[in-house]
Amino acid sequence: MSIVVQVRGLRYRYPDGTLALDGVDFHLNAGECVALLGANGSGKTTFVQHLNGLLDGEGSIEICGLPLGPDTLERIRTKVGVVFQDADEQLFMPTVLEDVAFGPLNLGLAPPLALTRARTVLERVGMTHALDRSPYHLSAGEKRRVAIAGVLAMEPEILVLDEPTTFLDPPARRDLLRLLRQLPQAKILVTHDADLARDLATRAVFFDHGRVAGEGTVLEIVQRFNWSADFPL
Amino acid sequence: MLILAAVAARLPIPALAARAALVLPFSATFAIITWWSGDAIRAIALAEKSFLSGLAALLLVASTPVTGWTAALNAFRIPRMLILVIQFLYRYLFVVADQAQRMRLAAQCRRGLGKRGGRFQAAAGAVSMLFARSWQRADGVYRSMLARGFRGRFIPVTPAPFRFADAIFLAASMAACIGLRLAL
Repeated sequence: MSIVVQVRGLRYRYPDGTLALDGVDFHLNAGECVALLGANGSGKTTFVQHLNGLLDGEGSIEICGLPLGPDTLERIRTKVGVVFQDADEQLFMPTVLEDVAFGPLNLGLAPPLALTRARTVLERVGMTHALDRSPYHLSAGEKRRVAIAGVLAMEPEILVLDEPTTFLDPPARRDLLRLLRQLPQAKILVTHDADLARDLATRAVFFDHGRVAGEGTVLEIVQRFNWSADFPL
Repeated sequence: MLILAAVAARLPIPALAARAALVLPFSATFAIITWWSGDAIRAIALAEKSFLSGLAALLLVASTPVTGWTAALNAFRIPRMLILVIQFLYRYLFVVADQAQRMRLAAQCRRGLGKRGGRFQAAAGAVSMLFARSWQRADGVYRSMLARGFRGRFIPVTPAPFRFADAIFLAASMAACIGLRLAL
Protein backbone atom coordinates (compact mmCIF):
# COMPACT_ATOMS: atom_id res chain seq x y z
CA MET A 1 0.00 0.00 0.00
CA SER A 2 1.51 3.37 -1.00
CA ILE A 3 2.16 6.07 1.57
CA VAL A 4 0.49 9.39 0.72
CA VAL A 5 1.58 11.38 3.78
CA GLN A 6 4.95 10.93 5.45
CA VAL A 7 5.94 13.25 8.31
CA ARG A 8 9.25 12.99 10.15
CA GLY A 9 10.34 14.87 13.26
CA LEU A 10 7.88 17.74 12.92
CA ARG A 11 8.39 20.51 15.49
CA TYR A 12 6.50 23.77 15.72
CA ARG A 13 6.62 26.60 18.19
CA TYR A 14 3.98 29.35 18.13
CA PRO A 15 5.23 32.97 18.04
CA ASP A 16 4.37 33.30 21.76
CA GLY A 17 6.88 30.54 22.53
CA THR A 18 4.44 27.67 23.13
CA LEU A 19 5.83 24.40 21.82
CA ALA A 20 2.87 22.92 19.95
CA LEU A 21 4.56 20.00 18.16
CA ASP A 22 7.61 18.23 19.48
CA GLY A 23 9.01 15.74 17.00
CA VAL A 24 5.92 14.19 15.42
CA ASP A 25 6.33 11.18 13.12
CA PHE A 26 3.28 10.13 11.13
CA HIS A 27 2.27 8.33 7.96
CA LEU A 28 -0.96 7.82 6.07
CA ASN A 29 -1.56 5.10 3.47
CA ALA A 30 -3.64 5.56 0.32
CA GLY A 31 -7.35 5.00 0.99
CA GLU A 32 -6.82 4.78 4.74
CA CYS A 33 -8.73 6.75 7.38
CA VAL A 34 -6.76 7.69 10.49
CA ALA A 35 -8.27 9.37 13.54
CA LEU A 36 -6.20 11.86 15.51
CA LEU A 37 -7.31 11.80 19.13
CA GLY A 38 -6.11 13.82 22.08
CA ALA A 39 -7.01 16.56 24.52
CA ASN A 40 -7.58 20.20 23.57
CA GLY A 41 -4.24 21.87 22.92
CA SER A 42 -2.43 18.57 22.33
CA GLY A 43 -1.36 19.68 18.84
CA LYS A 44 -3.81 17.87 16.53
CA THR A 45 -5.05 20.93 14.65
CA THR A 46 -1.57 22.48 14.54
CA PHE A 47 -0.32 19.23 13.04
CA VAL A 48 -2.90 19.04 10.24
CA GLN A 49 -2.36 22.71 9.36
CA HIS A 50 1.19 21.76 8.43
CA LEU A 51 0.02 19.24 5.85
CA ASN A 52 -0.89 21.86 3.27
CA GLY A 53 1.61 24.47 4.34
CA LEU A 54 -0.64 26.74 6.40
CA LEU A 55 1.98 26.47 9.14
CA ASP A 56 5.66 25.97 8.60
CA GLY A 57 7.54 23.97 11.23
CA GLU A 58 10.86 22.12 11.39
CA GLY A 59 11.10 18.57 10.10
CA SER A 60 10.10 16.97 6.83
CA ILE A 61 6.71 16.46 5.21
CA GLU A 62 6.08 14.54 2.02
CA ILE A 63 2.69 14.51 0.34
CA CYS A 64 2.22 11.92 -2.42
CA GLY A 65 5.98 11.80 -2.79
CA LEU A 66 6.37 15.59 -3.02
CA PRO A 67 8.46 17.24 -0.31
CA LEU A 68 6.55 20.19 1.13
CA GLY A 69 8.31 23.47 0.35
CA PRO A 70 7.74 26.84 -1.32
CA ASP A 71 8.13 25.33 -4.80
CA THR A 72 5.63 22.53 -4.26
CA LEU A 73 3.13 24.39 -2.08
CA GLU A 74 0.59 25.09 -4.84
CA ARG A 75 0.60 21.47 -6.04
CA ILE A 76 0.36 20.17 -2.52
CA ARG A 77 -2.64 22.36 -1.76
CA THR A 78 -4.46 20.67 -4.62
CA LYS A 79 -3.69 17.28 -3.09
CA VAL A 80 -4.62 17.99 0.53
CA GLY A 81 -8.13 19.30 1.17
CA VAL A 82 -8.73 20.67 4.66
CA VAL A 83 -12.24 20.96 6.09
CA PHE A 84 -11.89 23.33 9.01
CA GLN A 85 -13.53 22.94 12.40
CA ASP A 86 -15.64 26.09 12.05
CA ALA A 87 -17.55 25.85 8.77
CA ASP A 88 -18.30 29.59 8.96
CA GLU A 89 -14.61 30.29 8.43
CA GLN A 90 -14.66 28.26 5.26
CA LEU A 91 -17.70 29.83 3.63
CA PHE A 92 -16.98 33.34 2.49
CA MET A 93 -18.43 33.81 -0.99
CA PRO A 94 -21.87 35.38 -1.56
CA THR A 95 -23.58 32.17 -2.73
CA VAL A 96 -23.12 28.45 -2.12
CA LEU A 97 -22.33 27.79 -5.79
CA GLU A 98 -19.70 30.54 -5.94
CA ASP A 99 -18.16 29.30 -2.71
CA VAL A 100 -17.76 25.77 -4.00
CA ALA A 101 -16.43 27.06 -7.34
CA PHE A 102 -13.81 29.20 -5.52
CA GLY A 103 -11.26 26.35 -5.29
CA PRO A 104 -11.57 25.09 -8.89
CA LEU A 105 -11.28 28.67 -10.19
CA ASN A 106 -8.05 29.07 -8.22
CA LEU A 107 -6.82 25.85 -9.78
CA GLY A 108 -7.13 27.57 -13.13
CA LEU A 109 -10.32 25.95 -14.41
CA ALA A 110 -12.39 28.06 -16.81
CA PRO A 111 -15.48 29.50 -15.06
CA PRO A 112 -18.02 27.26 -16.89
CA LEU A 113 -15.99 24.14 -15.99
CA ALA A 114 -15.57 25.31 -12.39
CA LEU A 115 -19.32 25.85 -12.12
CA THR A 116 -20.06 22.41 -13.59
CA ARG A 117 -17.69 20.80 -11.13
CA ALA A 118 -19.22 22.77 -8.24
CA ARG A 119 -22.73 21.65 -9.24
CA THR A 120 -21.62 18.01 -9.50
CA VAL A 121 -20.03 18.07 -6.05
CA LEU A 122 -23.02 19.84 -4.51
CA GLU A 123 -25.24 17.14 -5.95
CA ARG A 124 -22.98 14.52 -4.40
CA VAL A 125 -23.32 16.07 -0.93
CA GLY A 126 -27.06 16.62 -1.39
CA MET A 127 -27.02 20.42 -1.49
CA THR A 128 -28.38 21.22 -4.95
CA HIS A 129 -31.39 22.94 -3.38
CA ALA A 130 -29.13 25.66 -1.98
CA LEU A 131 -27.06 26.65 -5.04
CA ASP A 132 -28.02 30.32 -5.01
CA ARG A 133 -28.49 30.72 -1.28
CA SER A 134 -26.14 32.66 0.95
CA PRO A 135 -23.96 30.27 3.01
CA TYR A 136 -24.73 32.41 6.08
CA HIS A 137 -28.36 31.30 6.00
CA LEU A 138 -27.76 27.54 6.06
CA SER A 139 -28.12 25.19 9.03
CA ALA A 140 -24.99 23.85 10.75
CA GLY A 141 -25.28 20.50 8.95
CA GLU A 142 -25.78 22.19 5.58
CA LYS A 143 -22.82 24.49 6.16
CA ARG A 144 -20.66 21.47 6.92
CA ARG A 145 -21.80 19.77 3.71
CA VAL A 146 -21.05 22.88 1.64
CA ALA A 147 -17.64 23.21 3.32
CA ILE A 148 -16.88 19.59 2.38
CA ALA A 149 -18.16 20.22 -1.15
CA GLY A 150 -15.81 23.23 -1.43
CA VAL A 151 -12.88 20.97 -0.66
CA LEU A 152 -14.07 18.02 -2.78
CA ALA A 153 -14.42 20.35 -5.76
CA MET A 154 -10.63 20.60 -5.77
CA GLU A 155 -10.46 16.81 -6.18
CA PRO A 156 -7.91 16.26 -3.42
CA GLU A 157 -6.19 12.93 -2.84
CA ILE A 158 -6.18 13.43 0.92
CA LEU A 159 -9.00 14.80 3.01
CA VAL A 160 -8.36 16.36 6.41
CA LEU A 161 -11.45 16.82 8.56
CA ASP A 162 -11.06 18.87 11.72
CA GLU A 163 -13.86 18.05 14.19
CA PRO A 164 -16.40 17.41 11.41
CA THR A 165 -19.32 16.66 13.74
CA THR A 166 -19.12 19.85 15.85
CA PHE A 167 -22.53 21.59 16.13
CA LEU A 168 -24.30 18.77 14.26
CA ASP A 169 -27.52 17.21 15.52
CA PRO A 170 -27.82 13.36 15.36
CA PRO A 171 -29.53 13.19 11.91
CA ALA A 172 -27.01 15.61 10.40
CA ARG A 173 -24.19 13.62 12.00
CA ARG A 174 -25.61 10.40 10.53
CA ASP A 175 -25.86 11.96 7.06
CA LEU A 176 -22.32 13.24 7.30
CA LEU A 177 -21.04 9.81 8.32
CA ARG A 178 -22.78 8.25 5.34
CA LEU A 179 -21.23 10.84 3.04
CA LEU A 180 -17.73 10.43 4.46
CA ARG A 181 -17.90 6.64 4.11
CA GLN A 182 -18.63 7.05 0.39
CA LEU A 183 -15.57 9.22 -0.25
CA PRO A 184 -12.63 7.23 -1.62
CA GLN A 185 -9.90 9.64 -0.51
CA ALA A 186 -7.41 8.89 2.27
CA LYS A 187 -8.69 10.71 5.36
CA ILE A 188 -7.27 12.24 8.50
CA LEU A 189 -9.96 12.77 11.06
CA VAL A 190 -9.25 15.16 13.93
CA THR A 191 -11.84 14.45 16.58
CA HIS A 192 -12.77 14.12 20.23
CA ASP A 193 -15.62 11.86 19.23
CA ALA A 194 -14.53 8.27 19.90
CA ASP A 195 -17.72 6.91 18.33
CA LEU A 196 -17.06 8.77 15.09
CA ALA A 197 -13.47 7.51 15.10
CA ARG A 198 -14.71 3.94 15.63
CA ASP A 199 -17.22 4.30 12.80
CA LEU A 200 -14.83 5.73 10.23
CA ALA A 201 -11.20 5.14 11.07
CA THR A 202 -9.13 1.99 10.81
CA ARG A 203 -6.26 3.40 12.83
CA ALA A 204 -5.90 6.01 15.56
CA VAL A 205 -3.02 8.20 16.67
CA PHE A 206 -3.12 9.77 20.13
CA PHE A 207 -1.55 13.21 20.63
CA ASP A 208 -0.33 14.42 23.99
CA HIS A 209 1.57 17.69 24.57
CA GLY A 210 2.63 17.91 20.93
CA ARG A 211 3.90 14.33 20.72
CA VAL A 212 2.48 11.10 19.39
CA ALA A 213 1.76 9.22 22.62
CA GLY A 214 0.30 6.11 21.05
CA GLU A 215 -0.81 4.47 17.83
CA GLY A 216 -3.01 1.47 17.08
CA THR A 217 -6.56 0.48 16.26
CA VAL A 218 -9.22 2.92 17.44
CA LEU A 219 -10.41 0.50 20.11
CA GLU A 220 -6.91 -0.04 21.46
CA ILE A 221 -6.21 3.69 21.67
CA VAL A 222 -9.59 4.51 23.19
CA GLN A 223 -9.08 1.87 25.89
CA ARG A 224 -5.44 2.68 26.53
CA PHE A 225 -6.07 6.41 27.01
CA ASN A 226 -9.56 6.02 28.52
CA TRP A 227 -10.83 8.19 25.66
CA SER A 228 -14.57 7.66 25.70
CA ALA A 229 -17.49 9.15 27.59
CA ASP A 230 -18.94 5.62 27.88
CA PHE A 231 -16.12 4.34 30.05
CA PRO A 232 -16.72 4.12 33.82
CA LEU A 233 -15.44 7.12 35.80
CA MET B 1 -30.25 61.18 -12.84
CA LEU B 2 -29.64 59.46 -9.51
CA ILE B 3 -33.37 59.40 -8.78
CA LEU B 4 -34.04 57.91 -12.21
CA ALA B 5 -31.44 55.24 -11.55
CA ALA B 6 -32.99 54.50 -8.14
CA VAL B 7 -36.43 54.16 -9.72
CA ALA B 8 -35.02 51.87 -12.42
CA ALA B 9 -33.36 49.73 -9.73
CA ARG B 10 -36.65 49.66 -7.77
CA LEU B 11 -35.01 51.06 -4.66
CA PRO B 12 -36.97 53.00 -2.00
CA ILE B 13 -35.88 56.61 -2.53
CA PRO B 14 -36.72 57.98 0.98
CA ALA B 15 -34.75 55.18 2.69
CA LEU B 16 -31.87 55.68 0.28
CA ALA B 17 -31.86 59.45 0.91
CA ALA B 18 -32.00 58.94 4.69
CA ARG B 19 -28.95 56.68 4.56
CA ALA B 20 -27.08 59.02 2.25
CA ALA B 21 -27.77 61.81 4.77
CA LEU B 22 -25.51 59.99 7.25
CA VAL B 23 -22.54 61.67 5.56
CA LEU B 24 -23.94 65.15 6.25
CA PRO B 25 -22.66 65.57 9.84
CA PHE B 26 -19.11 65.10 8.54
CA SER B 27 -19.38 67.43 5.57
CA ALA B 28 -21.49 69.89 7.60
CA THR B 29 -18.47 70.67 9.78
CA PHE B 30 -16.51 71.87 6.77
CA ALA B 31 -19.59 73.52 5.26
CA ILE B 32 -20.10 75.59 8.45
CA ILE B 33 -16.46 76.70 8.42
CA THR B 34 -16.81 77.68 4.77
CA TRP B 35 -20.05 79.54 5.59
CA TRP B 36 -18.29 81.48 8.40
CA SER B 37 -15.53 82.43 6.03
CA GLY B 38 -18.22 84.18 3.96
CA ASP B 39 -18.75 81.75 1.09
CA ALA B 40 -22.34 80.55 1.59
CA ILE B 41 -22.75 79.15 -1.95
CA ARG B 42 -19.64 77.01 -1.67
CA ALA B 43 -20.81 75.78 1.76
CA ILE B 44 -24.14 74.63 0.29
CA ALA B 45 -22.37 73.06 -2.69
CA LEU B 46 -20.06 71.16 -0.33
CA ALA B 47 -22.93 69.65 1.65
CA GLU B 48 -24.91 68.97 -1.52
CA LYS B 49 -22.01 67.23 -3.29
CA SER B 50 -21.20 65.01 -0.34
CA PHE B 51 -24.87 64.02 -0.05
CA LEU B 52 -25.07 63.21 -3.77
CA SER B 53 -21.79 61.28 -3.62
CA GLY B 54 -23.15 59.24 -0.72
CA LEU B 55 -26.36 58.64 -2.65
CA ALA B 56 -24.45 57.53 -5.75
CA ALA B 57 -22.27 55.15 -3.72
CA LEU B 58 -25.32 53.67 -1.99
CA LEU B 59 -27.09 53.29 -5.31
CA LEU B 60 -24.16 51.40 -6.76
CA VAL B 61 -23.81 49.11 -3.75
CA ALA B 62 -27.56 48.45 -3.52
CA SER B 63 -28.06 47.69 -7.20
CA THR B 64 -24.87 45.81 -8.14
CA PRO B 65 -23.34 42.76 -6.45
CA VAL B 66 -19.87 43.37 -5.04
CA THR B 67 -18.43 40.78 -7.40
CA GLY B 68 -19.92 42.83 -10.28
CA TRP B 69 -18.48 46.20 -9.42
CA THR B 70 -15.12 44.85 -8.34
CA ALA B 71 -14.96 43.06 -11.72
CA ALA B 72 -15.71 46.45 -13.30
CA LEU B 73 -12.91 48.07 -11.29
CA ASN B 74 -10.64 45.31 -12.56
CA ALA B 75 -11.73 46.02 -16.14
CA PHE B 76 -10.90 49.71 -15.61
CA ARG B 77 -7.37 48.65 -14.61
CA ILE B 78 -7.68 49.90 -11.03
CA PRO B 79 -4.64 48.60 -9.07
CA ARG B 80 -5.24 44.99 -8.02
CA MET B 81 -4.11 45.62 -4.46
CA LEU B 82 -6.81 48.28 -4.04
CA ILE B 83 -9.50 45.92 -5.37
CA LEU B 84 -8.26 43.17 -3.07
CA VAL B 85 -8.47 45.51 -0.08
CA ILE B 86 -12.09 46.36 -0.99
CA GLN B 87 -12.97 42.68 -1.40
CA PHE B 88 -11.40 41.71 1.93
CA LEU B 89 -12.98 44.69 3.66
CA TYR B 90 -16.38 43.59 2.37
CA ARG B 91 -15.89 39.99 3.53
CA TYR B 92 -14.49 40.95 6.92
CA LEU B 93 -17.36 43.36 7.55
CA PHE B 94 -19.59 40.28 7.77
CA VAL B 95 -17.10 38.63 10.11
CA VAL B 96 -17.12 41.67 12.44
CA ALA B 97 -20.93 41.97 12.25
CA ASP B 98 -21.31 38.27 13.04
CA GLN B 99 -18.98 38.52 16.03
CA ALA B 100 -20.76 41.66 17.27
CA GLN B 101 -24.09 39.83 17.05
CA ARG B 102 -22.77 36.88 19.07
CA MET B 103 -21.26 39.14 21.71
CA ARG B 104 -24.42 41.22 21.99
CA LEU B 105 -26.43 38.05 22.52
CA ALA B 106 -23.98 36.84 25.15
CA ALA B 107 -24.16 40.22 26.94
CA GLN B 108 -27.96 40.17 26.85
CA CYS B 109 -28.00 36.66 28.30
CA ARG B 110 -26.03 38.04 31.23
CA ARG B 111 -28.55 40.88 31.72
CA GLY B 112 -27.09 43.49 29.39
CA LEU B 113 -24.21 45.80 30.11
CA GLY B 114 -25.32 47.17 33.50
CA LYS B 115 -25.87 50.83 34.52
CA ARG B 116 -24.91 53.79 32.40
CA GLY B 117 -21.44 54.37 33.96
CA GLY B 118 -20.50 50.73 33.81
CA ARG B 119 -22.09 50.46 30.38
CA PHE B 120 -19.50 52.75 28.83
CA GLN B 121 -16.65 50.79 30.40
CA ALA B 122 -18.18 47.48 29.37
CA ALA B 123 -18.80 48.76 25.82
CA ALA B 124 -15.16 49.92 25.53
CA GLY B 125 -13.97 46.51 26.70
CA ALA B 126 -16.42 44.80 24.35
CA VAL B 127 -15.14 46.76 21.35
CA SER B 128 -11.53 45.73 22.02
CA MET B 129 -12.68 42.12 22.49
CA LEU B 130 -14.76 42.36 19.29
CA PHE B 131 -11.72 43.39 17.27
CA ALA B 132 -9.50 40.75 18.85
CA ARG B 133 -12.04 38.02 18.09
CA SER B 134 -12.78 39.38 14.62
CA TRP B 135 -9.09 39.41 13.85
CA GLN B 136 -8.83 35.78 14.93
CA ARG B 137 -11.85 34.86 12.81
CA ALA B 138 -10.59 36.80 9.80
CA ASP B 139 -7.29 34.93 10.10
CA GLY B 140 -9.24 31.66 10.00
CA VAL B 141 -11.10 32.80 6.87
CA TYR B 142 -7.83 33.75 5.20
CA ARG B 143 -6.26 30.40 6.06
CA SER B 144 -9.19 28.52 4.59
CA MET B 145 -8.87 30.65 1.44
CA LEU B 146 -5.18 29.75 1.19
CA ALA B 147 -6.03 26.09 1.72
CA ARG B 148 -8.29 26.31 -1.32
CA GLY B 149 -5.60 27.68 -3.57
CA PHE B 150 -6.15 31.45 -3.18
CA ARG B 151 -3.28 33.29 -4.87
CA GLY B 152 -4.12 36.92 -4.19
CA ARG B 153 -6.86 37.31 -6.75
CA PHE B 154 -10.59 36.65 -6.64
CA ILE B 155 -11.57 35.10 -9.95
CA PRO B 156 -15.13 36.02 -10.96
CA VAL B 157 -17.47 33.11 -11.68
CA THR B 158 -19.14 35.06 -14.45
CA PRO B 159 -16.54 37.15 -16.27
CA ALA B 160 -17.96 40.50 -17.38
CA PRO B 161 -16.05 41.69 -20.45
CA PHE B 162 -16.49 45.29 -21.54
CA ARG B 163 -18.99 45.04 -24.39
CA PHE B 164 -20.29 47.40 -27.05
CA ALA B 165 -23.51 47.94 -25.06
CA ASP B 166 -21.42 49.02 -22.05
CA ALA B 167 -19.57 51.55 -24.19
CA ILE B 168 -22.90 52.96 -25.45
CA PHE B 169 -24.24 53.21 -21.88
CA LEU B 170 -21.07 54.92 -20.67
CA ALA B 171 -21.09 57.39 -23.56
CA ALA B 172 -24.79 58.18 -23.05
CA SER B 173 -24.32 58.71 -19.29
CA MET B 174 -21.37 61.01 -19.83
CA ALA B 175 -23.21 62.93 -22.54
CA ALA B 176 -26.19 63.38 -20.21
CA CYS B 177 -23.95 64.64 -17.38
CA ILE B 178 -22.10 67.08 -19.63
CA GLY B 179 -25.38 68.23 -21.19
CA LEU B 180 -26.94 68.90 -17.79
CA ARG B 181 -23.84 70.74 -16.61
CA LEU B 182 -23.85 72.99 -19.69
CA ALA B 183 -27.60 73.57 -19.55
CA LEU B 184 -27.72 74.56 -15.84
